[in-house]
Amino acid sequence: MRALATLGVQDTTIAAVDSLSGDVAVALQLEPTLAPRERTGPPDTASAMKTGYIVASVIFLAYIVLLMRRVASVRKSS
Amino acid sequence: MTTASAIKARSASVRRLPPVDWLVLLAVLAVGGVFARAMLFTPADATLGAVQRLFYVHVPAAILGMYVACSVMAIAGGVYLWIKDDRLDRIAESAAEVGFVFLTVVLVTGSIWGKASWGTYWAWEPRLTSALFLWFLVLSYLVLRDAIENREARARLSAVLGVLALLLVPFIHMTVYLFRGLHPEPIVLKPEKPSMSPEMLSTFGLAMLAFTLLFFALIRLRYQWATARDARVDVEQA
Repeated sequence: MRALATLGVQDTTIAAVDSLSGDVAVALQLEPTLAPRERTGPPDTASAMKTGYIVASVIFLAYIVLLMRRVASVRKSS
Repeated sequence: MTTASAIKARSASVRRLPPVDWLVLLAVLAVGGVFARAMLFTPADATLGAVQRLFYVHVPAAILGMYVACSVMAIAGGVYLWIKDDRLDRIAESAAEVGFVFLTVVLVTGSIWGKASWGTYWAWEPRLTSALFLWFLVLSYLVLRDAIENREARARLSAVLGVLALLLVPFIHMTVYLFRGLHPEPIVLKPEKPSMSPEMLSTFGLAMLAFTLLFFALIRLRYQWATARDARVDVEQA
């Protein structure tokens, strides 16, 4: 229970835990556990990077094609 | 009133339009080279991973689309209101359209980056929302221009809207300081020196150069087209 107090758990909560049976009180103790999927290093976000570059390229190229078509249209009609 | 000699000169400029614009081609090659350098030879961020490399598209597109394009649009439009020179109106409309393309790239790459780092494509937080407002303002500028046939009225009204749109830009810049949101504070455009490693900074510098070249090459081509379009209209009306 002293461990709970040092973790900042409020007195009312400690009192509630205190009143429980021994097994439950042990289960409620805030012991650190490992995350299910422990990761080391940065996340794998390469696909998001590639998507971003592809979409940006498509937008720029589409606009360039649009401009070229406009210029060709004006030249043809002059 | 357009004089006959001016119409003749502008008609000649239509015929001079090159089938392939060498400056745009050069800019596309430069941007392609920067993309390859950013994706293959620049180190990934330790926290965000590879998606941080979108920085080399997102930030140059934001600087050019938001700060430069909106400034050109507003200044050219504002000076047009003063001296009524059609060339200024064509510069303003060219900057607005190219800026709109760059702003679209900013919003799309930002969304993809946001999904990877925040877990969502979009959040109604101050920087993103105000940037979307600017995108809609520039879109409305372009739609307004398309809706007005009279050239003088079109130039005058869109110049006013262009000047007003620029007022939003400093606010967008300050949103990350004034409000609590998801978007990080500037890495480059801040009083202190940029907080990046030298390899990242050199790639960013090259990206800025390549995108600046693309930006002005597109504005130049768009301006040439607008000149040719107006010349054709003048010839038809003469």
